[in-house]
Amino acid sequence: MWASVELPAWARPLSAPTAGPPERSSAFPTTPSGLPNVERGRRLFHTVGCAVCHGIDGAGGVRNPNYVRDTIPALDRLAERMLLFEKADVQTVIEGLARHDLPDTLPQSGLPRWPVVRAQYESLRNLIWNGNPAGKRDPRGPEPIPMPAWKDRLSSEDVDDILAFLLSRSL
Amino acid sequence: MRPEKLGTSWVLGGAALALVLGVLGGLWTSSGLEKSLPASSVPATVAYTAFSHRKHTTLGIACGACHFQTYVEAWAGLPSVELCRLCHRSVEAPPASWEPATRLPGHVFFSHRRHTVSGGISCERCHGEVQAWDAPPAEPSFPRGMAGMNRCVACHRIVGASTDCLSCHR
Repeated sequence: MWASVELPAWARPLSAPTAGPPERSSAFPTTPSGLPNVERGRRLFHTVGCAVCHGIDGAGGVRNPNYVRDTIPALDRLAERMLLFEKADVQTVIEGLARHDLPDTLPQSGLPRWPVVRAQYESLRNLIWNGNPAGKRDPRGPEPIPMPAWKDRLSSEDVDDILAFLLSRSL
Repeated sequence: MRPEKLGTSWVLGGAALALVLGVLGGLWTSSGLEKSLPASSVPATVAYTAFSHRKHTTLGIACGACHFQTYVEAWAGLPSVELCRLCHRSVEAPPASWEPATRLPGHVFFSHRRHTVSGGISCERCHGEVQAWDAPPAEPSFPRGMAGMNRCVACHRIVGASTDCLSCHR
């Protein structure tokens, strides 16, 4: 079955083998952007381990026992979290991330709500850099899986590229 | 209260408190109450060679999240110990003598990437119900020899892919 699906077969829960033709899937469902920083971010996201918890392409769906939200946050709607609702605005931020000078150039970017965008960007960077404990649903229950700190594993440029890739999911 | 009486009271009180704490401490450890303290939802110490696919796939972790090489390389490879350490504090690395169950013979050319990305074939199509395994496989998850080749050829015929010997053999 050459079904059109939201997630590729290898990203979905496994099912029993079938006797018919192989089920169609693709490695990376998002269309290649052609932007080097986005493609580098895509590769980093899937190779350093982000996808283990946040799902393939940041689609989420991974359970975190005793976490307040039950599943580890999906990251495929990062643009909305950064209050970027227009594709042109997302593109502007991706370009700033490619130059690795986003905080400095945002004021001249013409973006609406740029102070909020910058604050959200810095908040995300800080979260990735230093990690974050996961809130417990049952205070007496086990510790949920926390967000690990990446400051010793990723460079500043790596983080920018990963954010660019996640933002590109909204393009 | 006179000063000498106060001193005696302090000594007696301290001794009684120590006794009570000692008894409570003994009860705590002997009753196993300390084991009911909140622990991490993931084991702190794990052994790479005792990996359970089932425990991870039931959390919803996709095959390709750990086995990403299958989508970017010809060879499948194995997840690194560093990847395990994202969640587990301590991972006992496999001994130097440890080898993966599956080794592709030298005369066979096979590209995982070509099958997963270009062919769009799901993992279980070739590897079966790996998600139910509680231990690493003792045998390859794809049959060796003619049995394996027959499966390849059968699938190639279904989808119209080449069955020419030199497509897969050097």
